[in-house]
Amino acid sequence: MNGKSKNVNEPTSEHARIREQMPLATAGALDACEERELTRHLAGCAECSAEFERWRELGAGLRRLPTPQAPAALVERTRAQLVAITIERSEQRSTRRTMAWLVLFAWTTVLATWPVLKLISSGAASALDLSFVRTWHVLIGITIFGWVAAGAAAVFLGLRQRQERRLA
Amino acid sequence: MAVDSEAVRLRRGDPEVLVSLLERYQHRLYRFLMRMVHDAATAEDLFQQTWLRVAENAQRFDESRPLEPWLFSIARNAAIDYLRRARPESLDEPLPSGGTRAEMIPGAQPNAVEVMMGQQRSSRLAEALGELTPIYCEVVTLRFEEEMKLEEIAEVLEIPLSTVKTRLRRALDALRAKLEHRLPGGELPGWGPQ
Amino acid sequence: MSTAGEKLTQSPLQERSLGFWGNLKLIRPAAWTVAVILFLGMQALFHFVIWPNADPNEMAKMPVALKWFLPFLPATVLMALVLLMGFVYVDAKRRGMRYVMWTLLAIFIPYAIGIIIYFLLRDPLPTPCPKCGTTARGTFTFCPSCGAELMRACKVCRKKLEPGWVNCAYCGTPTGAQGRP
Repeated sequence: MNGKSKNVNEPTSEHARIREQMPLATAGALDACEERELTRHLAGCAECSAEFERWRELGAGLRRLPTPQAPAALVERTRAQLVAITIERSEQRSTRRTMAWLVLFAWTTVLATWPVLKLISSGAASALDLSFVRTWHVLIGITIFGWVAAGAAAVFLGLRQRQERRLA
Repeated sequence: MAVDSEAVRLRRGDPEVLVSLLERYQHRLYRFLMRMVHDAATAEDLFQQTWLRVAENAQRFDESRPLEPWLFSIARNAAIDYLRRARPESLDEPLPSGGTRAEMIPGAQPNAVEVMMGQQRSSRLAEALGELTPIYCEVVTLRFEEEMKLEEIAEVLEIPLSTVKTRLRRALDALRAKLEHRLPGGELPGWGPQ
Repeated sequence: MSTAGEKLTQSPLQERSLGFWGNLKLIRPAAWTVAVILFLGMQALFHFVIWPNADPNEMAKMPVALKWFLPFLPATVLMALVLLMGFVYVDAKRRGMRYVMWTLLAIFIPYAIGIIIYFLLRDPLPTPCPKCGTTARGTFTFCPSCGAELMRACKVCRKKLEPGWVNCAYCGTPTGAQGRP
């Protein structure tokens, strides 16, 4: 095990210890102090040097392994997916903003119905010979129609949703 | 630095950053996944899964951390999740030879590996690497192929630095043992290009 | 309405988020035409019918600026409503929804409530299939072209699994996930 080392009195554990360090040395994972110790030992020991050379070749071989290339189709698919995801996310964010504006808009139309109708009917009253009372009827009629229509739509959609969930 | 602003843009959800990351790291992540699962079809699935998770987690990315280890840790977790489900034996404690009880996996026959790798000589090395348990394979590949610093490897694997060194040493010992095993007469031919 | 699905596979995928103006450009010219006509028509209604027939005393008191500004508001609201209806039509179509039904709802439910309901309930955009790349509606669990799984699906009953489920909510089979969100 000792071989032809310079110093015959060198304990066997020295070689064993150095050889234990060799894998890490190949990986470049030794600190400066350990590195120096290794170099020093190798300078004076032919057998360990030969061993280290084999380790070095292993390291070189590992570093030079051919790289499997990612297929172009795969990368393209992944790219399309990533784009779709980011778009979906920004769409969701913009939808939330749109909803806020829509609700404001809806309330504006609700609140503006009365003055607009009054404006239109009072202006058109003489042209179409309508009385003020009839305007109230028209307004109430429209409001009721609005609520009934909205309610019907909500019921209809709710039923549709439940039907779909049952079938799905 | 260009990299910093990239991390910030990633956090903000800039789609171009994601695509540019994909283009930059496509081969490296694919190679890493191949080393972990040895099967092209699985590697492709995991590749897409990885990038999906990158997109999902981009907004929670901590800019103070380096980007590369984060990317690789996502890929690694995807691979480990898959192995845990599909081949839990492969994640067992490594045998002294460095392999596991489930040594040969279907779909990763030596021929397939050889064809994939190409060259004759280094295919022996690639084969041996492929037989290592994933715990060892990942440190070797991260150090030698990805050339990551030890601190970065520690971050990817979520283990302390000392454990990285220990695993590296054991992995290389196991790799060497595998190579010596397969060659008759104990003669070790060169396995790098001459 | 089944033609909605076929048209979908031919439409190109979005490459980037459209933004406000991009979405506006989606609206068909027919809707724009109707919107502009109503916009001008509403203003004309005011200037040619309402103002001339209104109480002369009140009209004298009204500042000129107001006389010109006031018709602008209901006209804008009307135009916005029509444009929104046009948007619902084109948006529901590209998402593979029942666009005729949704457009009618947008038209006949007043005060923009139909439009609000649409935005609340609309499907996600179609996404490319990860395996074969064909466009698939946002609600599809499997690709109609190659059968690849588009969303996590239960192995037994094949229904869509939502993230965080440990057991399938439809058939009870364990999903294999750990339940983290």
